[in-house]
Amino acid sequence: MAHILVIDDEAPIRENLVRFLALEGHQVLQAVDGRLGLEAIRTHKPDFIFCDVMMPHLDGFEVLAATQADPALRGIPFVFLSASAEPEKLEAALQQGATGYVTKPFNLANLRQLLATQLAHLIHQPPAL
Amino acid sequence: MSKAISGTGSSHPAELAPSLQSLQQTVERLQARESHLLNLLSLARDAVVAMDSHGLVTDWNPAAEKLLGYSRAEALGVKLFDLIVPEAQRGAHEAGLQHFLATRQPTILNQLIEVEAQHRDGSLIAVELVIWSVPSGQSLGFGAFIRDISDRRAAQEAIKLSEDFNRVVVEHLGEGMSINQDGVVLYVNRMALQILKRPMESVVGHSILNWVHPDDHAYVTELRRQSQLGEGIPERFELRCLQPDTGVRWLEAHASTIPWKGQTATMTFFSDITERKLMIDTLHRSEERYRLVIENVGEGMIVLQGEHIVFANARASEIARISHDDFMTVGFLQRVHPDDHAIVQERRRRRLAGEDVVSQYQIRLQQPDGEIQWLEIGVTVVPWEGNPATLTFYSDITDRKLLEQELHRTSSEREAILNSALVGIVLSRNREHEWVNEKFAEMVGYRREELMGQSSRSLHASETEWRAAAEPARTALATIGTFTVERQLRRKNGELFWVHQAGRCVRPLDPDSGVIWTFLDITERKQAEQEIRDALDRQKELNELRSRFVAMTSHEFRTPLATILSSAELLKYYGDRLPEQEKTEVLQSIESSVQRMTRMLDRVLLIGKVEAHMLEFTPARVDLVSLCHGLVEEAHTQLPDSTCTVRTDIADSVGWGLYDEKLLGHIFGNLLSNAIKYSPNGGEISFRIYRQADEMVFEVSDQGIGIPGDEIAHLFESFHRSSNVGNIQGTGLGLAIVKNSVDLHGGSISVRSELGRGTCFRVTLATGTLPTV
Repeated sequence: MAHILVIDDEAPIRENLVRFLALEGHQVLQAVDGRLGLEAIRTHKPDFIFCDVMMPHLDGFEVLAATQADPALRGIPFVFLSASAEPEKLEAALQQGATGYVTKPFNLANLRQLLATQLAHLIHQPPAL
Repeated sequence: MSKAISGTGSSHPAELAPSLQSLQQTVERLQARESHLLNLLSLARDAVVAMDSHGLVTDWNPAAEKLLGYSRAEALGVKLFDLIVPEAQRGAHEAGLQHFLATRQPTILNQLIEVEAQHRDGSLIAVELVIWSVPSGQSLGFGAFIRDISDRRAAQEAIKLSEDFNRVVVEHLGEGMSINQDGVVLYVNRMALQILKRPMESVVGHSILNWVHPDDHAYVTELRRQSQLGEGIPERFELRCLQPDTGVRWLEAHASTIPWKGQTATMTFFSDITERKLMIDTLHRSEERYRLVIENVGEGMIVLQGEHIVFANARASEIARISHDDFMTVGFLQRVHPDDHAIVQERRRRRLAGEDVVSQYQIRLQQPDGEIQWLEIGVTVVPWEGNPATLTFYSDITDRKLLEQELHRTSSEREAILNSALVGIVLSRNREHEWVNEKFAEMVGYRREELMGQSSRSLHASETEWRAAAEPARTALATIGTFTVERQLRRKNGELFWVHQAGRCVRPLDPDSGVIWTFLDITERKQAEQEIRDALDRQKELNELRSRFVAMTSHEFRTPLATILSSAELLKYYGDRLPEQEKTEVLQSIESSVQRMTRMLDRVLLIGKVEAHMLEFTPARVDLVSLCHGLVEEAHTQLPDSTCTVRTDIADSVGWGLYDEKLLGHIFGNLLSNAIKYSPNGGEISFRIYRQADEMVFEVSDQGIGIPGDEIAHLFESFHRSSNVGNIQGTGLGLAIVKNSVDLHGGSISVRSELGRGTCFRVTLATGTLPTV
């Protein structure tokens, strides 16, 4: 079990992710925009972060930059969930220290696989879907 | 689930066609721009070359083919500098380019420079070159205009050459020479100063009367008067001058008129004849004593009694190039030029007949080898061995004659050439026009006389510009010898126009010696240049709009698709573990996502119709009050997260009217949802409807982010989104649809906005009065 934070201003997507992660046995936190997301990261120091790119107040890249600037938070796996599929954005994200970049619409099975790899030290064996 | 989807299944695939059509139209518009651009390039008189960041040619217009000899196919993909820069200068050019790429510090960028370009056949052409950088995405490209200026360069060289030539010849002439205008000396040569025994500064710029003997002032003034009246003056005359210390000297002068810097001037050659005068004078008193003197004088002298030569000095036969013995029998008659023969014979006959004959004149001799020799002849009557005799003295003036002819020819020719030149030419000194040609006067709308002697100040766009222009020009002229600039000049009627101005010193690197300027009217070129730049900008803008639209549509479709897919997967894999309540929520999210996609698709389809002018206008009875209340509610539901409050204020006079309900839905649905969407920090939105005279006024105002003032002009264009929207999502289509719907109603829309304070849209429609039922 891991503590996972979902930051996305699109309510239906955010809610589905929360449902999915909870069903997968994780403890899930959620934030509805970039500013609240960054606050949650600082307060809760989650084990894993899913973050949207285009959001009000702070966008995903700004959240990532703030996280990377803090030595205490830098090591947290940070995966973008983005509706823009431009390869330049993916490259920029990885360069700035993101762990992954997932394009919307995403496959839950793929997210599960991604979590399994990233959180190998926390999850022993993923149960079959 | 299937039920929810079927409820929104109006988007049949066949309806995608109009959307594709809209994209197709955008592409066609871009292509039209591009062909317009290509057309401009192919018609340009200047060579226009486009290059990528490495200086490799990517475009090469017909003018470039003509000027530089390389076909488009040969030039494409080759470095411009390898093509046209002469071998010796390639290193420097390459270094300049690398320096720019490394530092982005422009060296020659956007400046007009004069260089030599190498033609395909190896010949060098003087060209003027301007290179500018074109940012394209992350990389950089370049454009260049190249213009052939060899004609202009040649004209400048020719002027300089003839100036130099004449100056050298005149300075070394054995006679004094001066050029006078209105009685004031403009120029004298070295010999003249020696004869007058005066320094340059006391002669040039002063009246000729300064050195003319007072007794001859009246004579000189009379000559000037005759000359001004065009009566003609004696070719040759004598006058006395005053030397500062040694007193009176006799001068023999020869005057003619020449064009000088646009006006008529008198060119006078003169020599000191005091000695000769003295001699003739003495001859009258005692002939014998002076025979010896005559023998040795520098002029040829012959004494005739009747038809016989009774005396000729050595110089006489020497000048005529005849042996002394032959000379004593026939004189120089046998050598007189056939054209002058009759005159000489006639004068001799009349003189012998005792008639009064002109005593001073010029004739030509023709030597056996064909060479023409000019003699200046003076005749006077003297006593000789007790009887009267005619004394003829003469000197060889061939050099002077040739120079005079040459000066006449070149100065008239030059005047003619410069005046008919297609470029404006100005000789200026100390920022005053000494001379201007006809073309220049025509360019600036003045008469030549109005310009000559005047400061260049009034021709500049402003006093400030005139002052600012001095320093860079002077520096360049004094260090590199030339200066070129593109600037605006002001015509007499106040109008500004663009010229290309190039200057060169009369004496190298010495601006004080005078500067020869050429002016080329480049207004047309400037306009073409601007058009090309505008077309490039517009093309870039359209490309940006297009890619923004693609990015936007992709984002807007991916978001609901993500909800649908994740919902479907949740139900598929975890359906059995989801509580009933959550299942319902997941199903609802699929439904609302599909609705969102449908709305999105409808907009794209709608804008397709708008662009194709296929939007229909079907007016019918509409209850404005309930319609508007409905639209406010709908806007709220679409943006449930907003904290805005909407105040609806509908006047009592508003009721039923004839409108297209669907279009009104587009208009106010979009304006209201925009007002909410672009007020991220909440605030009050006001929707006012009232009647004003024969019109119905609808106002939607918010306290949101506002619209930058300079972007309001583009507000209603498809795909345009203001620069300050940040992360607020949108298609850039709404207001285009609004505008079109208002237009279809024959109404108008205006907008007032203050950045950071809010925006107010005001729509005015006809009252749509119902016919009495």
